Amino acid sequence: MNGALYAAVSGSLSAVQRLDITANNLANTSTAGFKAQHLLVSSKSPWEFTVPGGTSPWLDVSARTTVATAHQTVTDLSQGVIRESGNPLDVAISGPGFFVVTTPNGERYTRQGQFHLEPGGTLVTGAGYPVQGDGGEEIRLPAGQIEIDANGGIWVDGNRMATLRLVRITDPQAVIPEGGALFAARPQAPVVGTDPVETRLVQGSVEEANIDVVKGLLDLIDVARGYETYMRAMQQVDASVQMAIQQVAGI
Amino acid sequence: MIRALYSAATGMQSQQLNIDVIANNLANVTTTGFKKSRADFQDLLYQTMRVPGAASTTNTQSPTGIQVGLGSRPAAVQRVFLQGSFDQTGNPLDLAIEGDGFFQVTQQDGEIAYTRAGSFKIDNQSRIVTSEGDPLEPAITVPLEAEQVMVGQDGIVTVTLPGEAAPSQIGQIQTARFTNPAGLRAMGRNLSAETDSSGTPQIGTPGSEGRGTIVQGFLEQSNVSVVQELIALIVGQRAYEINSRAINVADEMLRVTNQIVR
Repeated sequence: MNGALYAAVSGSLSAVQRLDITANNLANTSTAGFKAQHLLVSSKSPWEFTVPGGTSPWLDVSARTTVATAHQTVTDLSQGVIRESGNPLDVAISGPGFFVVTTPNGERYTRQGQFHLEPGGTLVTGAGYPVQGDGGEEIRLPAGQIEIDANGGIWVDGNRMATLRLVRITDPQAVIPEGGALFAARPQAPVVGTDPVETRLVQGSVEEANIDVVKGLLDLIDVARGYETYMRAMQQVDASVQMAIQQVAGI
Repeated sequence: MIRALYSAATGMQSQQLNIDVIANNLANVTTTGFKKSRADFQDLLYQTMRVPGAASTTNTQSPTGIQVGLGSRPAAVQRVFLQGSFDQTGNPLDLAIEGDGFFQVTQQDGEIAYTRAGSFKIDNQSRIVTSEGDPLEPAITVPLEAEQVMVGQDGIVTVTLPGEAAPSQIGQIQTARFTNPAGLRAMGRNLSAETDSSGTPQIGTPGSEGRGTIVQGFLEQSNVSVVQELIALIVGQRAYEINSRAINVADEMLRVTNQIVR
């Protein structure tokens, strides 16, 4: 079949995926610590579509056309704006790094530092997962005036009670979003402590989502118009095939 | 169907809740002792369309795979217990707590509730009560003939009686403190109730063990900042709008798709 048709179809499919990802980013403009997702689309020549282990072209497209395929999603780990909230249990991270929380599925990482205290005084996230101290233990705090310093030390009424564990996942591509403002690290990805100068905590503040709303809007326009173009291209291919059939048959 | 339709709808629902919370804060700008709330959000699940590390061609791997998020959801509506500013009223039974703690009042059904709104009155049985008529706990009765009521920083209530030079003590106000005040259940009418999440109240003398002191003749205003709330309202409205735009685009794409079949 006509290679142009496949090219247009692949373009429209990746446009739908881009829209899905942009819509998710825009739905999370108010999610503290949210990191925007981006879709990488790459062009592929047909000879790349080989059956694993085989050499024959997988798709029957002419060798001159390439098709677009969604390649991977990447998490944009850039810093979000830090907004003052005044709540002493809101802690924003300035610089690279994550808080570590204990979940039923194991260790997870988050930049959403909107913590709460449980009845027993355990420091937990909004979803109720305990936040880890520097030894990986749960943090229990007595009632009192809570102060958190730039390096994660937690002081209650002037006494140092615990230190928040802060880690960095060195390979940004190993950071996998899981929902609930949590990230997982890909197995075997190195997880190291943060640099106390580079990464600092700001108490009483919240890190907003790092979404560029204007760029999101442009993406929406781009996707909508691009999709229309692909559909128009399909119609053109269809029309030319139809013409070929009618005229050749007319002879 | 296009996932974006549903993701954007969750975004709109989140913003709706956000605006509900802001509207309630704004409605209580002048409510004595009111503590503002804030809606916190989280991203929803991610759908993995290609597993990280899967082969992208015969020789290369996709390092992060393809993961598409499915929107956002509210995680918590948290009350923010920042101190409100003080309003000097001069009324001897207007009390404010400077620092941590709550006044305890006995409700109609005998249950204890907690409040920061210290606009107390005297009822027909001479008890000190809230504007709703719920008596302070422990109950304090002001003698009818009392000329002047004084409340000390530590909550000791004294009155001057006619013909007596020295004031006489008639009771002491005790305040309650919670490990996690954000976990209290708001009941409306300025009252909050203890929950499993707030922990049990630690009752004691104002000014001791981290409890705030009592200031007579002042009321604690609500801690809502109108400017902050209005900005949050603008941001929420715009976020709502942009999510509806995403729905528009998805709809438009479906329309165009329907048109290619002639």
